[in-house]
Amino acid sequence: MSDQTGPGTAGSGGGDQPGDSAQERVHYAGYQGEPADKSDQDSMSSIFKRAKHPVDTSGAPAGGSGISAGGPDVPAGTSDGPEALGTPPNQTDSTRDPETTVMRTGAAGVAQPTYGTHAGGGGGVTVRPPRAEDVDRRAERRAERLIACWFLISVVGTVGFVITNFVGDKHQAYYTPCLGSALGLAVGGLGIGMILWAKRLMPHEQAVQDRHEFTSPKEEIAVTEAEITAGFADTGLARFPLLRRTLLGAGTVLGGLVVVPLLNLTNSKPGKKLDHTSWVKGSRLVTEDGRLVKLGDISIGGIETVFPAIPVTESDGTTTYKPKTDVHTKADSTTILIRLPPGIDRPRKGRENWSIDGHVAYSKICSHAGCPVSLYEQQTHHLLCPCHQSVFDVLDGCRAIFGPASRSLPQLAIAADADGFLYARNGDYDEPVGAAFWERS
Amino acid sequence: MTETPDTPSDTPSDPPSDSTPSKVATPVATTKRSARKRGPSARRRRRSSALVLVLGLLATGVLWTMLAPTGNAAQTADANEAVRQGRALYQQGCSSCHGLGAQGTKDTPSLIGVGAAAVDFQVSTGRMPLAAPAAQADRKPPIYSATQIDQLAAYVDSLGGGPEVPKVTDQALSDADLSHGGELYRANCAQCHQAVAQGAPLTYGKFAPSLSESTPTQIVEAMRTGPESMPVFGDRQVNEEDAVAVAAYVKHLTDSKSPGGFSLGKYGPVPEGLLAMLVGIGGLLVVCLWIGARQKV
Amino acid sequence: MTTASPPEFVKRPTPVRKANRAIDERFGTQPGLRRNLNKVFPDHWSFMIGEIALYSFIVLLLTGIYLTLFFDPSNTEVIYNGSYVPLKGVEMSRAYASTLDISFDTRAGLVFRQIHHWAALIFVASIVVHLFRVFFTGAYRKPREVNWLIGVGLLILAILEGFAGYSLPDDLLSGTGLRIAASIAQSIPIIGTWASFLLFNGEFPGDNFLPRLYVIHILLVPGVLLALIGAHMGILWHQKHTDFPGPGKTEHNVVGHRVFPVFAVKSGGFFMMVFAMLALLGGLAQINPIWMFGPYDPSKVSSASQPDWYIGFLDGSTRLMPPWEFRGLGHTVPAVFWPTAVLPGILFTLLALYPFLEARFTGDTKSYNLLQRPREAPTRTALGAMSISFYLVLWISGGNDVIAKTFSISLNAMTWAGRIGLIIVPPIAYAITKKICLSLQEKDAEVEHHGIETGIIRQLPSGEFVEDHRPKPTPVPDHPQVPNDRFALPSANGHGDGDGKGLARRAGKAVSGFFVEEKETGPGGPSTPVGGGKH
Repeated sequence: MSDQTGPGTAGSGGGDQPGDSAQERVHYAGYQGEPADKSDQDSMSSIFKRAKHPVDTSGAPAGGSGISAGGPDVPAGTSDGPEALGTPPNQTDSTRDPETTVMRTGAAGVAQPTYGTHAGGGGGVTVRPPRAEDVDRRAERRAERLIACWFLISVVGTVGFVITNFVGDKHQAYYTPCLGSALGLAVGGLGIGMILWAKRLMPHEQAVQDRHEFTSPKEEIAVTEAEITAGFADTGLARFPLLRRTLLGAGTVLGGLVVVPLLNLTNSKPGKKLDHTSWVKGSRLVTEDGRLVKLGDISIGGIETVFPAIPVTESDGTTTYKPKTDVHTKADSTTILIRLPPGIDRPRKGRENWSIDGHVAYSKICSHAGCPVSLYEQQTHHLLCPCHQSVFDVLDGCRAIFGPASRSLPQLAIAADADGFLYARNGDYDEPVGAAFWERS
Repeated sequence: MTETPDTPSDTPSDPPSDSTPSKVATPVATTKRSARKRGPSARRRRRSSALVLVLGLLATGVLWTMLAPTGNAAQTADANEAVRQGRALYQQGCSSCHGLGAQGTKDTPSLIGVGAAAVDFQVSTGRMPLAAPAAQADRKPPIYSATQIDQLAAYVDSLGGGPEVPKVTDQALSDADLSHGGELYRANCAQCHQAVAQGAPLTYGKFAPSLSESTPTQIVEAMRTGPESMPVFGDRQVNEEDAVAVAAYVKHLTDSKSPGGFSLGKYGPVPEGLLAMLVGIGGLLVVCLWIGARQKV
Repeated sequence: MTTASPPEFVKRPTPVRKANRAIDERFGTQPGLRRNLNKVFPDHWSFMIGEIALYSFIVLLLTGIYLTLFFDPSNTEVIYNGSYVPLKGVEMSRAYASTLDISFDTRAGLVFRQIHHWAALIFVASIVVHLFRVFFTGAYRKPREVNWLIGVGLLILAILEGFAGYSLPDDLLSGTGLRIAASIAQSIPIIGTWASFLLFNGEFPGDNFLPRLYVIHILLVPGVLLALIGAHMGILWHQKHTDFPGPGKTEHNVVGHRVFPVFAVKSGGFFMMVFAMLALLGGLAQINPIWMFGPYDPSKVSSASQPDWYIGFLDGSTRLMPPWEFRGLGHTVPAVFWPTAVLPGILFTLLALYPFLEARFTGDTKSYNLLQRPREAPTRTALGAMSISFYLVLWISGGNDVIAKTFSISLNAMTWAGRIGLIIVPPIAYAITKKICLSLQEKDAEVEHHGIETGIIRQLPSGEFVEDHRPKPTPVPDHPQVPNDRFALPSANGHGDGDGKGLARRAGKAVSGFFVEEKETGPGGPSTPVGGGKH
């Protein structure tokens, strides 16, 4: 292993900071990624020396058979061995490895500063053979031109985007595809150029960096634990049980406060809201565009989605019907009216007079997850829910016969009045509509 | 059941006197529709309505003979000719399944009273004649020419009324209220045919077909006649204007250009997810490979 | 062996140096800066999958900010009067109307909306692919379990965030999704009804729910996502990236490119490539055409209603679920509860706990920095394949209606195939994968003992034919885990690594290098690790 010779800094400037040595850094934090000034542990730094994990390079043969060609343009200084970059300045601990060892193939004709070298630092890491760009000046120029070309394509894309954006007609079908392609070209050109740049023109390096174990030495653990224990003792929580218990109690109570804003999330408490819909006794069946449904409106094999039209007694004693088709009503009161061929319906017990002349009305809100069930097959009289494919048999009281739904669709009892208008004869559904919930029996 | 021309053995002179009343006697249209179903209660109701129908027939027949302008005689003759031709076509191509009298069999529906619209729909979309029994007939190139379809329709219409072939003019289509058509489409059609009219499956192999290839006339015909699984939307539910608006909206959905690029079959999140996986993630993995790939030496 | 002298302190600084020094005087940045710029990242291609997620998240932020400037998350009903004719005069929420305005009446609105949506799909997808990479290579093992947990959290949040975004435009498709979400919330035993009411501010569709969802989508979840992404990357930076075993690679080093400049430029370029892919998708492939779906209306539905792909597995599990609803004692536990609340709960819990479970069952609590090849951990790989097949069955079932329509299959048959497949496919996947892993291990052992097949057949004097075996190359001394079957074979047998040129070959080579850094050696020659004495 090497002796670290050069105090070195990568990049520009700042080379005059010997005070922050990597040694300190390492011994403080125990690994490399930690900010050096994370905490002031100077007092401990001398206590906790750690053994590092040396990169074992003993087995690495010296001869790089396939990769020795430095290329004609390579400055002598760089072709002679791996550089160690980022090695700590003023390294005194000779048993330590450099943090990073960088090995390069060629140097792409650019004079790279070298700060110290290191024998066999790669530890068996292979370096790739030189590229055409490393050995051939013309190839390098070609690569440069290619990359520049992509950057120019990016400019074209950007200009295209700007022009399309301001000059293009946003109501034409070309507008969005043009914008997208131009933007793709703009960023993509830059991206391809950058990747080519890194791949073709930047020096090919294999950097080897140490990892550090995360586990702290026993001594450090002991001291930390001791300090925390001492600090905890200082709080007196162990000595003052009343303080401890009241603090705990106060904290718990305060923590319970989060329930309050949570409960404030709604002003509308569930109550029995899920059990009811907007259907009331005598509501007429009205379509979305406000047409009251009469007998004969629907052909045999036809369907209609209906909502309640609530009877309102006017001041002059007449009754008018006010359609309720707002979104909240629709969410639970939507009903599907189906006209079956006469005589094939098999009404459940007690529901014999819930239909009129083949017209049956069921909740359109699926008993599984609340989607509108409305794929009615007029030959098989099946209703299919498009969300999870539950199938309901209309002839058998909309019993669930396939899929994840387990309950029949609730039936709305309907009848026709003297004028032929259909109305809800019993009022609301006799069970909650839609998806089930805990309180539902 | 005897007075209405239910049997194919009608004399060729019958059809005109029958088709005319079917136009005039619209008040009984619902009764005629219910008569398509052969339940015992329907039969009872039908007897009285048939009486009305006979009276209507007689009255209009008398009126017809008195008032019909002589120019119409040629048209009547044409209609007779169409029915005759249609019957020939029927007996050749359809009677093996639907029966010589179009009365249907255990497995095939009766064609009496289905109307010209049903014939035009089924034959012009190539669904009939059926190649082989399946869960559902699928759209095919039609076998019969437009003229032959008209003749078949005239023949079936002569057997017992039913919905007429709707006349959907280009003018009516372009005048249609697209947004109202859209609302009706979403309320009545999207649940099966999918929001963008690409069709969707029903139970046990049946499906609501894509409407991409359907003509506006066929769309209105389907609404009126309710082919196969499809519910019927009569003109008291969706009037003529609204039906045309729905057809216009469907055609807008299927024919208009997508403003956002390729439409991916207009099938929503499933093809979108596939594209994201195959092209999006796949393409980016290729980029990863490229970045990570060794350079050629 | 040369020794370069340390660089001189530049007396007349350029503006950049000036800025650097000004910052340093205040914060003392130089050592940290140098250390971080010199941080080494391994450059295997599969380590960039996580970057896809990061970059699509950045694109999501950028496009999302643009969209917030135009979007109005309001439930207020308005009559649309924009430029999309087929919806003129239709009543809709302002959220939907403003989404239409973004799509049709805002410059570059539609393209950014579509980029945003595509980026969301790719964001979650890349998280999942990244998770596969981490899982199958054992990258989550100690000391990286915490980052695994954060990653699982990110996945869950990304799914929630995506669903919230999908639901915001208040179109027919997303509204249907919200309705199902409300039903799921409602299905939770005991607290369900309250949960649903608290979430939606009343009975579905709630009172002014969209503003609430909007805050969740643009503030709450992205904030947490951002914080977790920061933590995820901070931990990665701190712990250093894992690497595949390879020549010279040990548990105690990391080999690759330094952050500055190569890694930074490559990553910057890759960000641009991700952005470009999303821009191209956003411009050329239409996504979520809400104008065709229409405004949400609880009484309407479109057939083939699907969620975005990342929710698809839950849709699938819901479709496959038998109608098992538990009723009794005046209470109900709905069927929808099991596949949508319990199942994902179990799946994500198992996923999160996997590193700890594995450590428990294998008794292996050591720290690892080098990755494993999937074959080296057959049980884990088989468990992974099993989980993926389970997920895939659910996922396919989530789109079973579209598949049924496209391929003319009975929908009911699809459902039953899914139900049966969910039970029988995962064990089969487990068994097959384990067998493959073991036989690959066997092959490795054979190479270890007999050397590598050369493809050269010789006839012995006795008449017997034998194949020549080349001795296994000596492993690099300092690294016992160097795999032994990945070295260049003689080109004579046709599988040579040496000759072909071109993109396909290079791509193939990169793929074959998925798990191992291949050595670049001459054909046939034993690998010669190169320390770097001269080059």
